[in-house]
Amino acid sequence: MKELTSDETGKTVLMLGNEAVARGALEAGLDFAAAYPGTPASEIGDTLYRMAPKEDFYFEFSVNEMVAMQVAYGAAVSGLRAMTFFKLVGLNVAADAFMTTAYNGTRGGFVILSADDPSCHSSQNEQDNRYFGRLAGMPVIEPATVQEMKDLTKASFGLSERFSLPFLIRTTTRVNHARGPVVLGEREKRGRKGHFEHDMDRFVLSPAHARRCRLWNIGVMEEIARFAEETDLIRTEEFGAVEGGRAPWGIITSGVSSTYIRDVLQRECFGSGFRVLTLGLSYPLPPRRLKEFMGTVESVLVVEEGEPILETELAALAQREGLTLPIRGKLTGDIPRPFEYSPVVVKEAICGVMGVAAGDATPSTAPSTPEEDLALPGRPPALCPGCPHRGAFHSALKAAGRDAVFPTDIGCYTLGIMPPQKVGDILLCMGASVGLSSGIAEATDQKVIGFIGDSTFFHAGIPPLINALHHRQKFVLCIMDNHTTAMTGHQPTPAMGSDEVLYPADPVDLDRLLEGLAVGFIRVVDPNDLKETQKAFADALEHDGVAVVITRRPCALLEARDRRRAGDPLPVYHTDQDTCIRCHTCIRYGCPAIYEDKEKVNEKGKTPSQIDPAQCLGCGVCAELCPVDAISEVKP
Amino acid sequence: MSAEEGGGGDACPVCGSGPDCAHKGSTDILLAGVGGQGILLISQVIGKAAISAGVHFVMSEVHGMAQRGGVVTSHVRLGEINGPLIPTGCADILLAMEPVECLRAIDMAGPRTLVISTTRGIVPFTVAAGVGEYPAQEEIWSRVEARTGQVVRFDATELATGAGAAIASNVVLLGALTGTGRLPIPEDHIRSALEASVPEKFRDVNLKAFQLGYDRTAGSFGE
Repeated sequence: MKELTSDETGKTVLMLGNEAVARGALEAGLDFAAAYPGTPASEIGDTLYRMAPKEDFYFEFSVNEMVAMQVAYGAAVSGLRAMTFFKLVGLNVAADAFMTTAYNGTRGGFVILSADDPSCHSSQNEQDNRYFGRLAGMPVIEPATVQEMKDLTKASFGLSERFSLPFLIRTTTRVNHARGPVVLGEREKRGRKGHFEHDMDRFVLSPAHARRCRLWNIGVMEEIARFAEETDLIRTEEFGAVEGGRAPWGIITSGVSSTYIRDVLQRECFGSGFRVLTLGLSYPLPPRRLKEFMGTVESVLVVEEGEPILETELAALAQREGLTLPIRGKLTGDIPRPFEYSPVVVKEAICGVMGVAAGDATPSTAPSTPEEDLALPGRPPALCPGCPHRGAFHSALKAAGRDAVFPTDIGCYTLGIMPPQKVGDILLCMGASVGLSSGIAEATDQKVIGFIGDSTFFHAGIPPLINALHHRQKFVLCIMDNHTTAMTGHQPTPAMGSDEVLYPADPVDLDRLLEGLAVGFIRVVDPNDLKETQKAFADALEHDGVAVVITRRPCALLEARDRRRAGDPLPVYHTDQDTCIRCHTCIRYGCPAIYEDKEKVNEKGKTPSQIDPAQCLGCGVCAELCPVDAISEVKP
Repeated sequence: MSAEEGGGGDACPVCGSGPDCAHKGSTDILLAGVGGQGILLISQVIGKAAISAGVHFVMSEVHGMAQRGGVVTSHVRLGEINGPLIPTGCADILLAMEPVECLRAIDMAGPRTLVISTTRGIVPFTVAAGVGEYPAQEEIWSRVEARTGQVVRFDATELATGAGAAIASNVVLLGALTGTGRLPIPEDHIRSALEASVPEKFRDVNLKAFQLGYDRTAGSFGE
């Protein structure tokens, strides 16, 4: 952290792409940032959160992306340099506010970052948020390297101020989660207090004002398109034999794909010359520059991760300009439309359009199956050993049975779908477990138990709960309260006070909130107490209305950490091999630390259970489950 | 696809220059393992050492859902490279912290790839749940060795336990990687970066674990 905030201009520091974004904002004299965590953007917030107490800027983890956008924009229109950032689907949540900021414009530099996730590494879709720039009328910046993550973030603040318009930075997972050397730039120091200058005509979009702001937006985007004709955010490189500035092939690209192209073309010329145009500013496009580029090549290949956006717009531009050169890409089937790219994908596309054999040895780009004659056991992500969510799923399933419907939500507990519990029938978006429960309960006679984490409930679960109460819907909502935002790296929740977070905060009391809504059934249980939890679900299912079961226990990772720090570590558990009757009751609970010991198979072919002490987090639920008390604590 | 069938390594899919391709001035290392094993620490140590030695690099990892006990791979690319991903079949070194994950990642290796792996397995929960079998060690290694002749394997956890902390098997493997002399970074930079990356009270254990791994491979690779 010291290195990230260093004043040593010119020093080279190892950074994660997301840390480089935070550093870039710091160098630009960031005044204000607000965000809700989401992979692959989470570490931007984590970094700014840890920086803020010692630096001269405001940071908050907001309750959701929409609120973060509103809060940060409030600072920007007061003249401060402000930022918000989120994973790709976070922009859907923020979209209502986002769209109108492009009409209002901004005073202080306002930078919005969307971390897109081609290949859905940790997301429910791979939507291409470059479309949002087009939808709103907002410029799109695409960094390609860790160094550019810093440099272009910094530049975006200045550009936003220069054009009085928010700038959208679109990244992808492979840049967010790349690490590399970053050369530090100078830090701009700024005063922090803003002042809001009244201007109703601009900031209150009544129909007449909105029409005028619409025209303003079109005008300023045209101005930025003229800027794009000149800026070095867009650059051309040449590879192989390019004579007189003319090459047989042109490649137009943006983002991390440009690095794969460089890796391929620096090593092989394919007997041809290439001109490569990389768009660090990828919207609005510079028509004159693109026309000139197309005039210097025989054919164009467009290499862009996500949707064929550049390709479509380039084809439209070529048509307007009367150019007939071939434009190849996703739409012509020359490079895959879905999923992230790699050097191999790029090389195959180049070979394909040139009619050159990629070589017999080019491996398939399909997911690899190492050796077809040996099936390797899967290792999907799973709920951690000791995770309290497991007890909630186990108990709900016992109480409601397999015919019940279990809408689930976004968080670690999405992993409830993994065997053996397999709880989770439908997943849509943040907070949707509640609305889905309403609809499914109204539409069917099935029992419905929806699952939502505490952070997700604060984020988007409260309006649909109010809706369900108002409409007398009948289902059980399980709020899995582990007192953190676990999946994205244990960020704070609104239930935390100043004693738990790095900024001034008052805790919001979940139970009192529910009481205030007059929920007719509220039961708080410890999910590791399986009997109590099962009874709570059984009672809740009897309730005629919305029943809330709060399964409350801290995230096992945090509990283990806190106990270790307090010098009172949790015990680990051990199966006594002589007592174990090999019934596998404990194994069926699905804790990753428990396994059957196949080397101790008995004459009936049965195996005992073993507990891996390196993985056990000491929750002790297996000991409760064991019918013969074969499992007991081992003091650390 | 096996090596005999021409998969992965007869020619480099990026430069196409055949099995002798040495990637002109770059060293690509693929780290493979399971969430929680400390792959990130290794790649960060290499990165810090690369900075202090003035070697360019890019690394890539996947965070989030994968970290909950899932498969973790990290691409570490040192030298004259641009992008964060190693081309399939072109890793110079495959450093594996789990045998099944070594085999799962074998498509990243070619006939000249050096494989360094622990033999200590971590059985995934899917096996306990009855939806998979954990293969026998010989089944794994015969397939790894069919891909490349250069395979170093040993129980890194055993060495780490000898150093005083079973959990330091990642550092043992980092030591083994350094011991091969294949990193384009002077080894004193790796040691210093390791010292700077671990809490002071665990420094001695980590340096001991590093040395045990180092000694396991030092002198075996004359290149």
